[in-house]
Amino acid sequence: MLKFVLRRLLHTVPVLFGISILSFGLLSIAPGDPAEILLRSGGIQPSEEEIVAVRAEMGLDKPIYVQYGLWLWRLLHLDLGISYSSGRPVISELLDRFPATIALAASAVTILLIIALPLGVASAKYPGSWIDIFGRILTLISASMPGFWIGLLFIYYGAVRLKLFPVTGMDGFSSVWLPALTLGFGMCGTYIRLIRAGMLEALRQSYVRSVRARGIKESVIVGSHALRNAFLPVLTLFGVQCGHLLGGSVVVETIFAWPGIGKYAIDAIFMKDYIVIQGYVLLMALIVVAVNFLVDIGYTLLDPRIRLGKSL
Amino acid sequence: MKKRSRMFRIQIGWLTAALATIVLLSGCGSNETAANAPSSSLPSQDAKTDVDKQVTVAVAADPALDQLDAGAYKGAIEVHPMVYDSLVEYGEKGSIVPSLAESWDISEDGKTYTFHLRQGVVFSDGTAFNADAVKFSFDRWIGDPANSSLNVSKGLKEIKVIDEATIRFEFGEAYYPLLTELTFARPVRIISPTAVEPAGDPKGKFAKPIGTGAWVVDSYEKDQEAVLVRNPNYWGEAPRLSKIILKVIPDAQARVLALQSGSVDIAGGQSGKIPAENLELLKSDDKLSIQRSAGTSSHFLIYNYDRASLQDVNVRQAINLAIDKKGIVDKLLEGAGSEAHGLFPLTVPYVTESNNEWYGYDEDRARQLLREAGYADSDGDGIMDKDGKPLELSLVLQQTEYPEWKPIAEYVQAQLLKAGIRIRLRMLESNAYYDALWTSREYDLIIYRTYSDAYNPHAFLLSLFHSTGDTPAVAWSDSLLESLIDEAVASTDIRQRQAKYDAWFKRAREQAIYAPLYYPDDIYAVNKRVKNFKLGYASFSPIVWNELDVSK
Repeated sequence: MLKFVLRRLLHTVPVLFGISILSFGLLSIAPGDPAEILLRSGGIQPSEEEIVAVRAEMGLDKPIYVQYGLWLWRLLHLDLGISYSSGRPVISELLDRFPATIALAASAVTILLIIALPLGVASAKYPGSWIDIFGRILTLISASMPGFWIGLLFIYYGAVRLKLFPVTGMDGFSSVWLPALTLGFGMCGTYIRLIRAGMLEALRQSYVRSVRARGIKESVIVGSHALRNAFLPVLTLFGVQCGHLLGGSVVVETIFAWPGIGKYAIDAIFMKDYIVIQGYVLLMALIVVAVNFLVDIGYTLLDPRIRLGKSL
Repeated sequence: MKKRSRMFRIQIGWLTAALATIVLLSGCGSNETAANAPSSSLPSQDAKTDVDKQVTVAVAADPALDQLDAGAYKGAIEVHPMVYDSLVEYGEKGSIVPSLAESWDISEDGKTYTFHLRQGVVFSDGTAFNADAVKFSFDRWIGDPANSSLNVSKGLKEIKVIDEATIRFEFGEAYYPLLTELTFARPVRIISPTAVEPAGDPKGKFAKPIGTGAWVVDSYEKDQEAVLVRNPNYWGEAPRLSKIILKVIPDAQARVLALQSGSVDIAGGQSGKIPAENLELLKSDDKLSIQRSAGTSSHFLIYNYDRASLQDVNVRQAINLAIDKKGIVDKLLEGAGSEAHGLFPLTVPYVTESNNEWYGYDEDRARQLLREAGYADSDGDGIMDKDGKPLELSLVLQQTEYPEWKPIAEYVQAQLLKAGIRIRLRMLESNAYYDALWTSREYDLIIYRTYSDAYNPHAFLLSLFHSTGDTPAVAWSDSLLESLIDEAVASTDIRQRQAKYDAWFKRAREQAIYAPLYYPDDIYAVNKRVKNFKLGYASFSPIVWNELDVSK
C-alpha cells in the first residue's frame, strides 16, 4: 500500500511540471501586457515610461523562460511568489481563501447527497412510480437551470422575501446554505440519474437474487449490497468533478460574495497575474490528484474485486 | 391492493426523508440568522440609536484597505479622499477649492507655486500637520518613473519648506493642470510621517493609513467588508454619520437584491454599478430612491485615420449623421444618460454650450454626403460602394468592462446599414481590445470612453489626440490639433486657454474626427432612510460623505 501511495505521489511531479509549463506558455501568448493591465486598472492609459518601470519591477523584462525558472526556484523554497496585482504573497492569499472554499464545497456535497441519494435509490427501487417521475423532473430542472439564475432566485426568496438568510457574504453559519444549495442543486441531477442507473443495474444482478432467496431483508439488500456497487460510478464522477467543485464555482462565489479561491483565480486571469495563476494551478492540480487518489482507495473499500485485482 | 398502499407508504417515507433533511438544514440556518438579524442583515435597526448612525454601501471589489497608502495606486480609489486630504480639492466643473492649503500664489511664469497651509490641523493619530509633513508625503513618490504621467512628478524641480505653514513647489515649465493634478485621489494626498516604518523616512515602508481626512479605517476584512469611522481629530465640520460600512458584493444582481432586502443602503456609481435594466424595478420599490447626476465621461467612436474610406471628411460626417444618439439613450440606456453633443459633456472644464455642438441625426443628409464622396449603391444590395468596393467597416468592442456596448454597437450597426454602410462587429476580450486600441490599431471603428473628471479635458486629449515620442496620436492625428493642445496646457491665462480649447473643439467638429454617442449618468440607488445624499464632483469622491445622515 505504501509503495502504491509513493508511486502515485511520484506520478504527480511530471503532471504538475507539465501543467505549469503549459499555463505559463499559454499565458505568455495571450493578449495584454501584465504591467499595462495593472497600470490601466485606474482607468487611465499609462505612459510608456510607466509601463517600462513597472515591467522591470515585476520582473517581466526578463525572457519568459527566465521568469519560469525563477518561479520554479522559488517554488523549491516553498515560496509561490508575490502577486503582481495585489502585492501580497500568493501562498497566504490562497490559504486565506481555502477554508471558505472547503466549507462551501463540503456543504454543497452534503446537500447533493441528501437530495440525490434517497431520490436515486428510491427511483431505482420503484421505477416508473411517481417518485421516479419526481426525480426525473428534479434532474431536468437541476441540469437546465443555470447557476446564476438559481442563485438569484434563492437570494430573492430566501433572503429578500423571507429574510431567513443573509443576502451575501460569509456571515456566520447560516450564510453557507444558500450558496451551498445553489451549487449542490446544480450538480444533483447528474447524481440522481447516476445512482438510479447504478442501482437498477445492481438490483438485476444474480447476487441480489441469491441474497433475496436467502431471505435477507429488502432494506439490507438495497442499502448495503446493491448501493455499494451502485456507488462506484458516483465516486468516479466525484473524483473528476472535485476540481470543478472547488475552483469552478466562480458564478456562485460571485453572486454570494463568497470569499473562495475560484473568483480569486478568475480575477487573476483577467489581470494576467502569472504568479497567482501558477500558484492556483499548482494547488488545484495537487488537490485533484489527492482526491482521485482517495477515490482509488475508496474503490478498494467498496469493491473487493479491485483490491484483489492482481490475484483474479 | 394492500401491497400497493404499503409501497406508497415506503415511497412517501423516502421523499419525506429527502425533504425533511433539507428543511432541517435550512431550519438550523434560519434560527441562526434570526438571532443575528439585528446586527447583520438589518443595519437600519442599529441606526435607530442616535450614538451609532451608520450606512452600508455596496462595492463590487475588495477595497484593500490594508494597502491604503496615500502615495500608491492601491486600495479603493474612493476611500483615499475619505482618509487623506489634499492641498486642494476638485470642485464643481473642475474649480480648485482650498483644503489643507488655505490659499496659494502662482508666479508670473507659471512655474512656482506657493501654498499657505491651514493651521492647527492634526493627523488622526495626533501628529501635527505642517509643511514638513507635506514635503514628506511628496518625497515618498515624486520622481519615480512609475508616476511619469503626472506632470507634478515629472516636471517638479524642488519642494522647499519656507516655514511651518508655507511650502513652495518649483516646476521646470508652466502647465496649468498642475493644481488639478493635486486634487487627484492619489498619490498626491498628504499622509502622516508616522504612517511609515521607520517613522518620518520617505523611503520607509507603509504601515498604517493615517491622514487628516474625516474618516479613519476602523476594521477591514478582506473580500467581505471594511468599516470607516469618524475621525475625532478632523479639522473641518464633523460628519453626521459615525460609521460607514463598505460591503463587498461583486455581482450586480446581488447588489440589487441587497438593496431590496435593506442589507445595504447605497449602491451604484463606478464602484458598484447598477445595471440599467434594473432601474425600473428599483424605482418601483418605495423603500428606495434613484439618484442620478450627469457624469463627466462620454462614450464615442474612434475612427482609424489610416483607412482610406475614413480619410474622407464626408464619410466621417455621414457616420455621425446616420446615428440616432437620442435613440441610444432612450431605448438602450433606459434614459440613464444624455445624447452626446461633442467629445465631453458640459460638466467638464472648458466645455461650453457654444463649443459643444455636434451633428444631429439626419439619415437623408448622411446618404447625400456619401454620394458626394463618390459612393453609390450600384448593385442594389443596399450597401454603398465606390470603385466596385462596398463601404464596409469593422467596429471593435469589448463587453467585460462595458456590457452596454454590445447592444449599442448592434444599434449603431443597424443604423449605419440604413445609410448604406455595412458594419462588422468584432467583440474582443478586454485585454485584446486594449491591444487593438493602443498598440495594433486593428480596427476601422472602435468604441471607447473618455477618462473621468480631473483628467478631462487636458489629460485625455494629450493621451488620445497627441503623439507621444515617436508614436503618432492614437485616436486622430492632426498637427494643428496637437499644437492647440500644447498651447492650451502651457497657457497661464485662462481666457487664452479657453480660446485654444474653443479652437480645438471647432476644428474637431469641422473635421468630424470622431463620433460622439452618449454621456452616461452616474446612478445610485439609495435607501430612503439615508438623508442629505449628494453626489460629489469627481468620480473618486462620488458621494459627499460628510453631509450624509440617516433618519431616526
